[in-house]
Amino acid sequence: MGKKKQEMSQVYNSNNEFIFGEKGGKGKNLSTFLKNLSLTTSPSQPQSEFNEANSNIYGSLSYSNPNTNEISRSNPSLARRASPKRSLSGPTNMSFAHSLTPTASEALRTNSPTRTKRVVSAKYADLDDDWDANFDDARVDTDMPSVRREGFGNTFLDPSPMLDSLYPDLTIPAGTKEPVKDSIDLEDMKIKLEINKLNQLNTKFLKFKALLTQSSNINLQELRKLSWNGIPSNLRAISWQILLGYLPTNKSRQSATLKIKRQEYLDGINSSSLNLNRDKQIYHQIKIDVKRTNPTVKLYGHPEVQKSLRKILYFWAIRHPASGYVQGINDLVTPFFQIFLTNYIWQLQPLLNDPQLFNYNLHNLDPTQISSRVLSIIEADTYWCLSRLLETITDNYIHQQPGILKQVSDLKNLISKIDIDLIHHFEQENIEFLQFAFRWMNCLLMRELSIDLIIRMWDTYLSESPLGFSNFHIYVCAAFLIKFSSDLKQKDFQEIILFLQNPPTSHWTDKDIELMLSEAFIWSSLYKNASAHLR
Amino acid sequence: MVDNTDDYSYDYEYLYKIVLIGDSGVGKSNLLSRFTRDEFNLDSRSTIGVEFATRTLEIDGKRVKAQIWDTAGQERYRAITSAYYRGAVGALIVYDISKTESYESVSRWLKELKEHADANIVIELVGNKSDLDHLRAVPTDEAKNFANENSLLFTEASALNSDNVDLSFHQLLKNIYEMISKHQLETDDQPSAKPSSGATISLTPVPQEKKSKNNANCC
Repeated sequence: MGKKKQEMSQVYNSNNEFIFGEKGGKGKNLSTFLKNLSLTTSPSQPQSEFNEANSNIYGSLSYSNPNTNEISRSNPSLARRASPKRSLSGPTNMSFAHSLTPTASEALRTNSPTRTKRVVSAKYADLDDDWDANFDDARVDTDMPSVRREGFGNTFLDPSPMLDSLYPDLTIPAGTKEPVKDSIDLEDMKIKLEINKLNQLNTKFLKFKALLTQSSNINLQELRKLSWNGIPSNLRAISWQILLGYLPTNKSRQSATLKIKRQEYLDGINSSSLNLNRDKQIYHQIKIDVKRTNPTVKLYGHPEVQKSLRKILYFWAIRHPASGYVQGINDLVTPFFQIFLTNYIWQLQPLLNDPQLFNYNLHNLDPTQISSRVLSIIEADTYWCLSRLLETITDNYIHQQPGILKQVSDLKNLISKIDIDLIHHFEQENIEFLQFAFRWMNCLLMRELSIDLIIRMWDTYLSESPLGFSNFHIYVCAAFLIKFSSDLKQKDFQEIILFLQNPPTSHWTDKDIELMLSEAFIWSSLYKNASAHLR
Repeated sequence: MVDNTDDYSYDYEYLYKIVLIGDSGVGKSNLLSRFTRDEFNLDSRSTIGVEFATRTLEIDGKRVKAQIWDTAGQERYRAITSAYYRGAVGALIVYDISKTESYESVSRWLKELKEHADANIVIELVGNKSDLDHLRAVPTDEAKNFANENSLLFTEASALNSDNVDLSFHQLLKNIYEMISKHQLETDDQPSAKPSSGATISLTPVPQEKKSKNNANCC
């Protein structure tokens, strides 16, 4: 049980860091926080079930045996190499700072514009109420360590220098009650907002967790509904796998299915026919494309990762001769690969009890630390999920790419209903939709948006039924184009092409994506029934 | 043209559409970025479909704008990319001097052009990555002979160190200019190319309403 508790500590580590570390911490906030904490850590029963669910993802490899020694034995290379890292990465408090990143970005993620407003107003009612009520709790300093232990798990048992230095801070405001001033303190409001965001995040997490764990048969409809608005990053891997139909909703079948699928992949990869009669042309194309896949992300520069991607892509190409490998599929494989890879690292955390594991991200992870056995599992999951995705857009990659041509023409028809002026301007400038939208369809906007944004977008695509990569994507592309409509109307042929070749999205956040997805949703609802004459 | 000099898009007398073709990974996109922006990107991603860039330069005292369409090298994209051949007055077939296969594909690319492009398109063969001389797999003479036999212009260039990049584009544009001047003199009474839609770009300058004026200018 103690081990399972730590599952939650992922979320709280970050909360703690943010409130106490960065903002200096005030008693009020602490108490509010602790109150929330005690609320959220109480349901221990679902947590164990949650771990069960996760155990199905990585099967016997990580969860089937609760004995940590067993883990290090079954996966010696990772266990062995994980520990020396501790000394390499400097003081422990560094790790807290790092662990903030996923949560902070998620805070943004859950925060759609309309919701923010609601949060602000709710905050006043809520937190001011809590203020006095919580004060007494905060003053009981002697309770602190036990709460801390319970809430944060064993990871924090050794008091880090940072936490120690924060103790005085926590007690100071207890003596100086200034409730009125506090409510108009900007810093304070910011902190409250942060707490609210994190709480919201937490509520979301709990909803997902409940859905994924509390029944022997996961309600797919419900999961789609929740996921449409974004999936908590530490539950993304399992959610994606279920949404794609790779992981069965019936939990009793999950382990067995994964086992079979992973074995099937391994057998396929190792089959002599695959390796002896290698199609040189396809392999060469994959090889040069993998080398230039996400070239700015360090992870994809590692030879081990490139080897994995080559294997996945080549195997897929051989098994799907009608399309074979087409440039751009190398982009589509990356979200799966990195989600499953990071998820694996996260899954190790409660087992190895190594806070350093949270330090790993795509920029500092050394894939040589991962055993080939684990890599092959990540490869297999990636392969099957990629296959599911591509099944829905097969026509995009077969001879003459008819799927893309149809999507592009659908997009044009859609825009003519939404923004006829833009169509007229394009016609006047001799702009063809194919000139810019081909790539949007071929790479699902992965060349136009950063991978983090794409991952958020896929939460929604995967929640659509049928999957959103074919039809819903057109509406997203429409929303994307309309976003720049007024700019584009001022431009001539050359300016339009150059603009759309490199659209200004580098500053985009999840908020922009969510707005775009909402617009796409509205249009898809509006025009769905009219689709007959779209075509 | 004088009254339009403040608008850069009108600041040219000729617009030539050029296509950049050749096997995947030979360095087409970097040749283009070297020529149009003097940039070389080691971290470039593969080209999907078609990408576009322009540069205006002076040929025989005339402002010539090269509108260059950079195509994806993979076979699967042929249906999409070959649509861009239409209306092109010049083509660069690029191979990698260190990769025999990419040179062996040149005749296939030539055939593509014969099938889809205008008959009088000016073609230049470019052996890229000349900086990799120590890994050379295609002898210069062999490629040069092939170019001669097929009436192609020829250069070896390096997008990496800029060697001959400007020269190869310049040479192509100059030949196009000469070909078109000659052609226009011969067929002076014929109406010029029709206003085109989409990928097809006429030989005469855009915008179309300026056409008659420009024609008067140059002939």
